[in-house]
Amino acid sequence: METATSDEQIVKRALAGDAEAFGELVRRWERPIFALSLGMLGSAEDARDATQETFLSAFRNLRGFRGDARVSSWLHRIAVNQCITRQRRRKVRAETALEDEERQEALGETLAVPATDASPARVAESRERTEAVRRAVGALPLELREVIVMKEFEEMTFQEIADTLGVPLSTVKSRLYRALGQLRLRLEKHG
Amino acid sequence: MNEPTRDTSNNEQARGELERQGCTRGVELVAYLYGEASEPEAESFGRHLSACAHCRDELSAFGDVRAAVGEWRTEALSGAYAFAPVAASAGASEKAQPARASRRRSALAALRAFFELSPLWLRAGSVAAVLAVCALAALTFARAEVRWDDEGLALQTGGGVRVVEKRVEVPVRVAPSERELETMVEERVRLQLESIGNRPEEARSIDASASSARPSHASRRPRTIQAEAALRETPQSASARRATAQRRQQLAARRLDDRNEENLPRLYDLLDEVHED
Repeated sequence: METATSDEQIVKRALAGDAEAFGELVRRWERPIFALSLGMLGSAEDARDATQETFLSAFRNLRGFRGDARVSSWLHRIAVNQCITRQRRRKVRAETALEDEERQEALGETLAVPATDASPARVAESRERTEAVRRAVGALPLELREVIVMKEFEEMTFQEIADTLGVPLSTVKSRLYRALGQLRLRLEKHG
Repeated sequence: MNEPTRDTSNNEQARGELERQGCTRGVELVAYLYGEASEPEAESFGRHLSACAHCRDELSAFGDVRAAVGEWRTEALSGAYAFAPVAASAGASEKAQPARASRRRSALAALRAFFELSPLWLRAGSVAAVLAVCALAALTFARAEVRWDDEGLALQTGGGVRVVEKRVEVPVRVAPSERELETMVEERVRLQLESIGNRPEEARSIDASASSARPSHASRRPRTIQAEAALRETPQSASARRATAQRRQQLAARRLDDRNEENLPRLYDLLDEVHED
């Protein structure tokens, strides 16, 4: 992200004791990190928590940032780790009706779009389709899900994804290809 | 993050899938799809597309997938981001807590979240504490005894707690029954008759000495006795008759509206006068 002040300069200011600097970094990256978390977790509530924890973790480990990677990659990596942690925690707990209800509620919040002139039938159809996508993305293996979310939600380049994940460029492409293939199968099965 | 060997296996896996599907140019397809292929690569793959139905079909299907994911992304972010909190402020310290989401959770959801986030020992401890409280309450109520005795209302629980509501004695005036009334009347009559039987001599002496004395109840004796007495009238009896006459005048002179009960004529006195006549 090209900005007047680079992320690295902001981090330096924060490390030098500038109280406003880290807030600036948060404002700059809050939305992208939230989008990444939302794509990874599929729940707005979980995404908010993961976003908060990402920035708290970044603040705590600010002095550990060595500067050999871009700040954006560093933040994305923290966010992915936070999502993985939350995902594991969520897998541990049993699936209950209440959880489904909560997810539906979260989804309802997630999909709460401004009122349009669309008919209720179209709105319901749209919701059903997006719910199917959400489930399909959520069912992907982690390594495939993170690349498709970074690409589709964050619109990161192959190289940025590779830098963030620390994998070769070809791996990013092949994972994307597999992710798209699995999503296609799941969505076609859904109809 | 990932080892090279794993990346190699991933690439091989992707290539394997492509080979099974009949084309090995999937990675180029992805670059072409996202517009990240170089110009030569794009031209090359464009030529391939005109000859490969599989890649054309896949490119179209992947485009649909991207559109669907994009629709979800747009709706999700437009609806949810308005609620996204500011994760940390500029002056946030390390002790600062993250701002909580404004969305209200139900009590049940909060309880469930507590259990999810708590370590196992805390969950087990909470459950054990709740069970212990329930068992204690059940035991207490099972052994509870409520009774009403001389001391009042008593509640005896398993823990030995005793709450007593003292009995309050309220004096109650109970009217005598008909039987009791009859007994009282009979007793009173009997005493009266006894007193009558014991007093004739005394009454005679009183009548003889003082005309103001209370008259005797001798008049209740049968009339035959009185006739006999008249036959045996002596000078003393004549004097007594005069005293009686004098007393009758005194009784007649008493005011009936006298409020002093002692001054009112007694029924027996009047009867005596009648009998003596």
